[in-house]
Amino acid sequence: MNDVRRAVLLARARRRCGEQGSPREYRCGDDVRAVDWHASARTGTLQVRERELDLRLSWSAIADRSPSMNVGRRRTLVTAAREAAAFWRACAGADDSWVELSPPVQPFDLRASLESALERLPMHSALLVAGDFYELAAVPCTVLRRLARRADCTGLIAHDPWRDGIALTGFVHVVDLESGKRRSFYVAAQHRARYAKAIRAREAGIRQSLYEAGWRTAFFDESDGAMAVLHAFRLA
Amino acid sequence: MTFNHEWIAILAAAVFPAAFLAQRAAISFQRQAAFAYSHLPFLTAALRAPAWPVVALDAAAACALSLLVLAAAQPRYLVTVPAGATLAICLDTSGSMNLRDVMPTRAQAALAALRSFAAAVPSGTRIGVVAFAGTARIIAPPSTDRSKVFAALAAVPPPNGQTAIGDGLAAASATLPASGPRGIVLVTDGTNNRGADPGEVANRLRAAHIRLDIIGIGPGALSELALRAYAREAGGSFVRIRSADQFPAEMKRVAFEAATLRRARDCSPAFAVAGLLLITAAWFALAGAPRL
Repeated sequence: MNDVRRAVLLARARRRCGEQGSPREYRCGDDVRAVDWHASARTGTLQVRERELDLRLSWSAIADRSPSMNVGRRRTLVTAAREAAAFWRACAGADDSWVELSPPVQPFDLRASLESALERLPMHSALLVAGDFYELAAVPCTVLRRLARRADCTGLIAHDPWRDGIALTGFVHVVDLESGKRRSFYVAAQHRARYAKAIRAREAGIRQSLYEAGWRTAFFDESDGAMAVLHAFRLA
Repeated sequence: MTFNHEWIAILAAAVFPAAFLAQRAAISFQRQAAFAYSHLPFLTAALRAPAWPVVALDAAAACALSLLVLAAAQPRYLVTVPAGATLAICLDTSGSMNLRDVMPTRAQAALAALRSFAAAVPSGTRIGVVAFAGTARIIAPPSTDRSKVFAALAAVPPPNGQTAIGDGLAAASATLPASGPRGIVLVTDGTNNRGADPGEVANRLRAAHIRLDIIGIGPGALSELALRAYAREAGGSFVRIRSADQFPAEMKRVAFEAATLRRARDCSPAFAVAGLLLITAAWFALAGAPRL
């Protein structure tokens, strides 16, 4: 958890390179990630730049609790998202603060939640959003970018539980968890192949959109939401 | 096709669209377990599965229901079967049959038509030949042997004398058996002017359930109204021939109507079986639907 906090601070510091302190000579025990290679090349000795490791952060999380997250083979994605949010909260330092965003909006609205975060989060925040991002198309890119400038944003994208193969064959009835609408399909092998391809394209598209807006991304599934946080920071 | 209970058949016609629409709408209300998915629009776009199999299944289920209702209406279809009838050809050989207004003469045109008639009737039909002018004469009793019929037609005396239609009909009816499908085909060109009253004979024919088909030849004087009435009384038909080229079609028609029967066959089991098969097929198609 401390590694996550440190990683957030480092990431923030890299973005705000103009406000960093002057470099000093490397001392045993310094974080190698703090090495300033340009300064080291100039001086010929290892130099580290002071990082704002003592900065107090504000932490916040948005866990998608819409009905579309109530899917999963053994447990639901909602459970995993809440697990990730709880882990995220536990990453906060003793002096850090937790920002509770607006009261839950029923039904869950991704755009409203992100705009609320944009309004309420102070500078030097760390934000985690865990969900399936089906509503991402309704969120303007400007909101994502502004959030990324205000806070360190991490997006955990829920893997489709059937991304490896949807076991539907023949005539099937499907109910939409969001709207409750039902529809019948006739599914054959070629349709299942199309689905697998479409899922991969969708997840890649979401990741790309968040990345272009300046977000850190990772995928999570129903098994372990906390591990996904570590994956996002390449700590596991 | 006919139905014993026509109102049920009409109901079945309404059942199909109602059942089809209900089936399509029922998907919204079905309580059966369905595959729960996060985002149906994405699934629809991702699968790109065609809609027609589902529509076809709904149509099959609605069709099955309609077939079962139709089976309850007891549908029957009519088949034409040889009646095994006994027919008597009653040919006018009065002097006026020599006229050439129907080429080559009325008599020769009539004989040619009767030969084609004998060839057209279904096998198993017995045909006899009676000729009449001033008196009636039985040329050949009814027989299934067509060669005998053709020989009898060749033995018809040349036209000469008056017209005793009533006597001819009476002689023809005397050659027919007492029961079974029976008919007389009368070919005449004139008005009864001798012998028994054709109207009374026609009444006796009607009472004995003997069909009478009358073919009136020639454009000349012909008691058409009376002949038409005789034929109607006896459950047959009347047709007026004014030229020889009308004969083939009319003789074929008379041969068909006089020598065949229309029987109703019940086909409700077929409807019921078809409906059950469709229902079963639809059930099997849906029974394998997976659930996660």
